[in-house]
Amino acid sequence: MANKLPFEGIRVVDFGWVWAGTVLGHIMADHGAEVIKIESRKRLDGLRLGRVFELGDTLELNPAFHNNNRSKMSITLDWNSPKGHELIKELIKKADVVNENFTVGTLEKHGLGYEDLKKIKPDIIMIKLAPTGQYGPEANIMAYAPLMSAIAGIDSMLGYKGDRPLGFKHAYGDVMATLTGAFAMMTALRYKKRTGKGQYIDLSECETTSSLIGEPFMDYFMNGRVAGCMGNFRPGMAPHGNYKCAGDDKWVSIAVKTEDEWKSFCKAIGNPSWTKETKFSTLANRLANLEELDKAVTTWTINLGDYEATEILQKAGVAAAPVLNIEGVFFDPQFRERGIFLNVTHPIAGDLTLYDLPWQASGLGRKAAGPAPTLGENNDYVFGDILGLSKDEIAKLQEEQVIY
Amino acid sequence: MTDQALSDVKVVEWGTFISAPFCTKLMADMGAEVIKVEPPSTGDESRQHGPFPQDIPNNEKSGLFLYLNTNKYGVTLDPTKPAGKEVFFKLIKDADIFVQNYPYNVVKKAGLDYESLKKVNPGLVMISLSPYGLTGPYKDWKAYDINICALGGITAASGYPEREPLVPPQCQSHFNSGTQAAMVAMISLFNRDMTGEGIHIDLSEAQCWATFHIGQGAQPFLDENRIRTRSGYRVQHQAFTDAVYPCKDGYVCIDTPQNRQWKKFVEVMGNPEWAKDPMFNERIKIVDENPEKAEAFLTPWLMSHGKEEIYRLCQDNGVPAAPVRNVQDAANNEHLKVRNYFVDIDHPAAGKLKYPGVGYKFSESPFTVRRAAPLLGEHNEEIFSKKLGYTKTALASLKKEKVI
Repeated sequence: MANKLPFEGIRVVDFGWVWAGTVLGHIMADHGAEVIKIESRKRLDGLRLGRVFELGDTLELNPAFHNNNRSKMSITLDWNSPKGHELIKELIKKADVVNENFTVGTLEKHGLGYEDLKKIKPDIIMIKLAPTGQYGPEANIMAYAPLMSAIAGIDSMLGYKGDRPLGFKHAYGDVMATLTGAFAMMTALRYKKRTGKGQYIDLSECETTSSLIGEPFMDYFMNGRVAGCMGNFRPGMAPHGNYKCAGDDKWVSIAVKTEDEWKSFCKAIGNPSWTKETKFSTLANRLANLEELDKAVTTWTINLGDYEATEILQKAGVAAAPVLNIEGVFFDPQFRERGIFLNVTHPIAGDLTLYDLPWQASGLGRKAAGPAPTLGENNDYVFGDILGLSKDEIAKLQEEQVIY
Repeated sequence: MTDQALSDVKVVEWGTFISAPFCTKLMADMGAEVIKVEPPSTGDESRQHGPFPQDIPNNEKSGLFLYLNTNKYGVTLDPTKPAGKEVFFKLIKDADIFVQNYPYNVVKKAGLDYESLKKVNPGLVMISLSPYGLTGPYKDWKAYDINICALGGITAASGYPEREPLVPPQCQSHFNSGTQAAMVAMISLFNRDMTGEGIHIDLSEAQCWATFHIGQGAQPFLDENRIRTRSGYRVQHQAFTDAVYPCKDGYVCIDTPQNRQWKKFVEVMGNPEWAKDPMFNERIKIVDENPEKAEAFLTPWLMSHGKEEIYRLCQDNGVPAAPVRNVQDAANNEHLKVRNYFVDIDHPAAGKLKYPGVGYKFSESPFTVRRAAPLLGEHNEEIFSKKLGYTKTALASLKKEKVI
């Protein structure tokens, strides 16, 4: 049984594109599901093109595309055309899951809504990801990740203490929605396994992001308090921050919570005289003189490398870590030892470094990851082997730009 | 009782603060039976965290705890004591999934590591969450949220270039890892159902950032030495405008990568003369070359319109823009009301309050609130006596030994 994969035998028709719609499919594919990415030259995944949508010969080169679509299959099918519409329905009849993140109403407009699909495949699971969900007064908005974290409430808290919000400069809403969506989809699959019933999942990316900030919502409902930007300040902790080290843009994060940790911190940095001053003697005093404290801590960190400061503090049992960018992450010894990247080779893009999954698993089946498929790479298998079309029929459909 | 997606799944959580509790919350909300094991007398750390109604500390009324532990059963038990371990093993014997986030050396010393638990339940799925993983040079390093964010790479590009990098708000490393833990728990459950064999997942919270959120930057770094650095409220290397701006009554986020979106935005602003400035022909260069000049053009229009007004005007015309909403805005938002995102929960100590719900709607097996977060040891009798068969006398003696 050792070679069995957790999602073996599960087929996913993947309309997902760009970010949020695609990652959940690769997680399924990584664990043995047959994930068929539905593409068409008439409706290309923008991620094949890069962020600025310009047609070119770079359809296979964007690293983000390879990360998000690894191990999947790709077919090119114009499902807007009458013949394409029939073919996609035939494929969905043989699938377990359909996922999509188009503008709300797109698939419904083309007769591929949940109610349509249920008629041809009663136990289908359909998961739809959209910025604000499928219904409600704001359901039709157009939003990229930066807008989602703005709507969800998290941006209003990301900025220097007491200062203006800066916003979350990563695709946080997209990534968290797709990971939460993967979890949701898997629970629906398990429910189907137990009861035989499929279902429809309406996922709002803004809502999944709001669910990650439960604490300030509770504070608002309990006390009417509205959280603002806190910077690196956290109540009950001092010092707590990212402190400047020697070197170009090098920083070390340091967090001290308990009195014991404070004592260890002082000892580790050599008990300089400022640590004995009354204004820093208790947590309350340190919090009252935070700006001075941060300056004093920096007088120690500024002469050390980020890893050097980290090691001195960790040896003393104080929480510290270097502030790494992608270069730092790539070369960090812990990440190196655990192996957080994997290498794949793509016929056009060549050797690629993709992120690996963030866990080490004993006993869990996992497919060796491949790169993303080239556009239409699996047309023969899907139209021929799964849908039973002859080579001639496939060629004719290609000529008619149905398979295109 | 509604049949939910995970109604047949039994989960034991020996967790504290956010990461493990958020992981099991996701499962509990989908119907899993989650038994939360808390240290006798003190309970989960989040009970002391707050926020508290009227800011009066009370370990039954902490907003963070209430939010994270709804739908769970709660028992008090010290499994590190021999008598407690015996009771704990009985819980484990009956469980599908065990989730824990205590330091693994503590877990191991108490004989509660995977190898030991596998002997009790060979089909157990065990999820261990830790800051940096259970292997590698940093496995015993101490960490708080700020350190995990720093090492994982999510902090470095947040903030102004001339100031310190900013950790994301509200302990996102733990919400992120909790989400990913729930996802891999589901994958593991499929694998376990197939093979009957147990699985141990060693999930590193820092890796949860370094992979899905940061890892797709590895290839651009290797190819072009591209490293994201801090750019305040703007986003580098993106077509103008992709930024958070002040407006009449707050802040808005506007993101117009496509030319037609930018043209529409200019129309929405009433086709001002300045939009004819040649700089807007190459919007990709603006952020790197002269953002202040371009932004100064926008300011008068932005400052004479409110955030919700800008949102409506832009979205009605196909321009991706959104208000930066704070928790109060979100809590009173009509769209979220229509979608019943917030739920009312009546808790015996904290009373009736609104809570954030989940971001997805299932047609067949929906999220429901079955019970409020447990009082400390609330289900001791129900679980230990009724489920495990301990007599009242046996429980009294365990209580005396401070095991429960």
